[in-house]
Amino acid sequence: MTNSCKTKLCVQNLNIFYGSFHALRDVTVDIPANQVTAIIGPSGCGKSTFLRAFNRMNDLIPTARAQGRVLMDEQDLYAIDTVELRKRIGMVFQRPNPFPKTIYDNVAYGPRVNGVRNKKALDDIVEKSLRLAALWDEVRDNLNKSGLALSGGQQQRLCIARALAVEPEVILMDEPASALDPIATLKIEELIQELKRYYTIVIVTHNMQQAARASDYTAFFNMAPDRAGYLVECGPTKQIFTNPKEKLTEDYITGRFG
Amino acid sequence: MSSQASARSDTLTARQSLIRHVDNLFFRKLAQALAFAGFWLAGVIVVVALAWIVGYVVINGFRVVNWEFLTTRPAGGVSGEGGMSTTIVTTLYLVVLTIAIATPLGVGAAVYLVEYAGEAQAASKLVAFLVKVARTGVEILAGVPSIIFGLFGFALFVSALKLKFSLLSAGLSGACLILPVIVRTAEEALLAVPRAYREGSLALGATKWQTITQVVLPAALPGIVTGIVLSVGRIVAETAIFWVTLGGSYRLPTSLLSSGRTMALHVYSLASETRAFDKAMGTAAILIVIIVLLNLVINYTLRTLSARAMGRM
Amino acid sequence: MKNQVKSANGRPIFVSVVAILTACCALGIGFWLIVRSMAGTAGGDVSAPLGRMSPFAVVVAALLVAGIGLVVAWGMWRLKNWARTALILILGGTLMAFLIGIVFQVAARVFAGEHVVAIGETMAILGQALVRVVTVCAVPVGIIYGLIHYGWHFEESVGQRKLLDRMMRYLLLSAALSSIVIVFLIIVFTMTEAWKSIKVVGADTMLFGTVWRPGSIIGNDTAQLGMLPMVVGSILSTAGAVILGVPLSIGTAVLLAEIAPPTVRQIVRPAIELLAGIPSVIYGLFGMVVIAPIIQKAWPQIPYNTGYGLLNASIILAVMIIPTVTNIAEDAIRAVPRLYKEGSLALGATHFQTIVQVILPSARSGLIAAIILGIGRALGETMAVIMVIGNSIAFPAPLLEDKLWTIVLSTARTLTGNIAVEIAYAEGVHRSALFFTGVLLFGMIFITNSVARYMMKEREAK
Repeated sequence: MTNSCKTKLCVQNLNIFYGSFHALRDVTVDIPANQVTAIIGPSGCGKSTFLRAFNRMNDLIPTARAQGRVLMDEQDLYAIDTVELRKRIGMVFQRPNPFPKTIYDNVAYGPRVNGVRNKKALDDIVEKSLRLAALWDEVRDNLNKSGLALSGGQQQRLCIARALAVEPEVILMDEPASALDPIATLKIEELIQELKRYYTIVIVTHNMQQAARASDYTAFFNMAPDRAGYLVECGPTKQIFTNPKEKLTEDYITGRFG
Repeated sequence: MSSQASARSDTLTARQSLIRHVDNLFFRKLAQALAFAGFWLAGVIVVVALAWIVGYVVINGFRVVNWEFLTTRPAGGVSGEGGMSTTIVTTLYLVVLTIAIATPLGVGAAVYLVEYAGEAQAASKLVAFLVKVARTGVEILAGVPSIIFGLFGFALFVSALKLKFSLLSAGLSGACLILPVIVRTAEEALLAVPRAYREGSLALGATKWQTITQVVLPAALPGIVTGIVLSVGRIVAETAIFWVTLGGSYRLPTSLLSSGRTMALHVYSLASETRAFDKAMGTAAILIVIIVLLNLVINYTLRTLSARAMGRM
Repeated sequence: MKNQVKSANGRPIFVSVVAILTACCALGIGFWLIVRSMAGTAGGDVSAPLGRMSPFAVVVAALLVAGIGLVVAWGMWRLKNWARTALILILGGTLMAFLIGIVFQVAARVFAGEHVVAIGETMAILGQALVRVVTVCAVPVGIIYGLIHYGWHFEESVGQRKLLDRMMRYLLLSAALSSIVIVFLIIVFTMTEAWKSIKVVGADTMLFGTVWRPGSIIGNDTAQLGMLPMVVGSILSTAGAVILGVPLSIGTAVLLAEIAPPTVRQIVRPAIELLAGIPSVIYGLFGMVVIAPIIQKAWPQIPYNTGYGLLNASIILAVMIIPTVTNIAEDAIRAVPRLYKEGSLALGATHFQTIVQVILPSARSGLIAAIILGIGRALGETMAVIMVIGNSIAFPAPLLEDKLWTIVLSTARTLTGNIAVEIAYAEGVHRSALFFTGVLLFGMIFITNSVARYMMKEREAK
């Protein structure tokens, strides 16, 4: 198998085990650059596991094992250093998790641990990231307030700004709006549309309307009888939602299960 | 029997059992009242004992305490004259020394047990065994009485390492004494830091060490400081261990290798070698004030700081 | 993040200067040491420490210092991160040592005389010290600050980071193991010191011998090292503490957990915590000043009633174990599931009956653990006990033959007291016997603690 990959990210025959439990079975999918790819499927079908395979957060679990290949720009992600990898692929979590520091320190954390010390440079990075995350106007006068004092939606945008500050190429989002109210959710979805100009975005969501609204490509996962997750179908969002190739996909989309 | 008669006998039995029930209840309630009075008495005795001891020492002690007393050197010898100035400084030296030795060791141990032990245990059987041994060690150490630490310090530091009666011997022994306290409180504090913080930091491309020093430890700091303040209280109150490692010189220690006397030791010396009970009370009163202040700091300041650092405020 | 952060600019001037400085200092110190050693032992106080070392050792030290300094300087020149860390640690360490010295000097001057010097003079001394600190520390602190500030210029490869990670892992593992190492050292050192007496006198003679007349006092020929009186003293005083203290503790625990309203608990709980933190010598002092006269006045007709003795010790020890026992007992009572309590009350039992017949039996293992821990605490207490128990080496015995209860007024000595009172002047076999007492105590308390811990774990498992 050569390292050939025409899109930004390629997954080739990926299998993930937790000990002896087969969590993901033989997934092969291409993720295009500067597009939003949505991962949908019923609970427990391995969507989060799949997402975490990109930035190797599964490695934090001692019994986790991955087989197959994950490539970015034709480079095998499981052959390079995880710390370097996570600077190029950022992640936003389901529940906002700002650090108990000021807003400024939250956003500046990433650049700081990468060695940026210059105050002016940090100020610029913080402003740029907060603008990109559509949070700048709301907090520009309060950068020294605690990150935890913001509302849920603001905290999530803070986490997005924090991830952006490290200048990644890919942003992974694990159900980023599921803990937020509808108005905050809408703001996040608008943000994602703007961000795809600069970044490749992969988003896991259990909300099909969100997938239909906000994404360009969709991959549908399902859980096999032995509880392993597998890829059923993937393609342009319009096609998946109006004319799916697999009956299973159609059943899921029309709400017959999941 | 006719139904009327049987109904009547039913009522009779019912009324009889009712009476029996009432009698029994009265006695039971009486027993309860007496017993509860007894419980209240126990509680009252405990509180009164505390109030009596603390009150007596503080009131009598403060008759002696004045600026003169606090700033005069103890005169030594049998007379018990003089004040307690050098003992305050010696206690301070000793506290700083023990904390300086025990904190890096203790916090380091806690960091390992919380942050590294999990994955290390899965990786290697040897490491899993070592971690279990390490944990048992902390538990055993926590139960050793202070006189044994004193004997140990005497055997190792004072005699074998020829450090003689000195701040260093006492500091090293004291550090062994408070090590389990620091490890336990630091471990608790680190465990209380939410996992989400660690994941968030790692996902930004920080190394494990950066995550620990820049996110986890700052969040756990108030809890760790609580452990340190608890240890300070312990060192200030301890006598047996320092009796055997610090010596009893009433002079001010001029280096790490000179001897001295802590406030608690001074109380003991005054009480048992001289008849200056009033001066002993004075020193004891100051000791109690310090302990009360430390308790207040722990219970009020640190609890609020802790909640804030964890993001609960 | 792009590697724009890693310097393509080359070595900052600051770093070059520091590197050169380090090399010069290293060479200079090495040179100075060698010159001094050549000068021999003649000279003032400054060379006194050197005078004690042989010239050979001084030369070796000189070469070592110079060598390390040059290596670090070279590392700095090449922008290696380990060199920067090493330099920061060395500078930081010397600064610390210097500051500690200053603190001792200032304190010595302030407390020089009989009285602490006046405020004005204290300020002057502090001012002088501050000036000295600033002048000496300015340059090193500046260097450290600069090194940290320019830290990002120094390269750190992936390999280096992995090495650092592994080193930290091992370092922290050894910190975690330090506790068990200390336990091991304690056992080794106390056993070693105790061995002499075991060999010369014999463990059984010591444990069961009834006469304690150590050789350090009356000569080694007729020395007898029997510690049975101390064992009995320990057991009796602990028993007394348990008899007096445990009912009060359990009663208070039940009160706090079941009966008292929350406001009472808010007052009593901190009070008990305070009780736990009070230094033991203060309890001893109280026993000497308040309790001893009371006991003496209560039974003036009994001869040799000094007020010091087993009763005094039992009272003091009881007060000291109350916080421990109450705390654990209260936790055990609170841990009993509400279902049990509610079930009993629903059947018409009174609260008291519920406590006695349902709650306390349920909490049994926790209560026993609490009592055992209290016993351990009483056995291990030293200073308070020796202040009030009289410390006589005779067997505790009733003061009046026909009134057996007067044994509580008898003076005695405990195992812990034995160690504390005699360790200062004991020599040879005598001292070794005291260590044997320590080993014995360690063993006893280790057993009680393990049993208590086992009982508490058993309760959790249920």
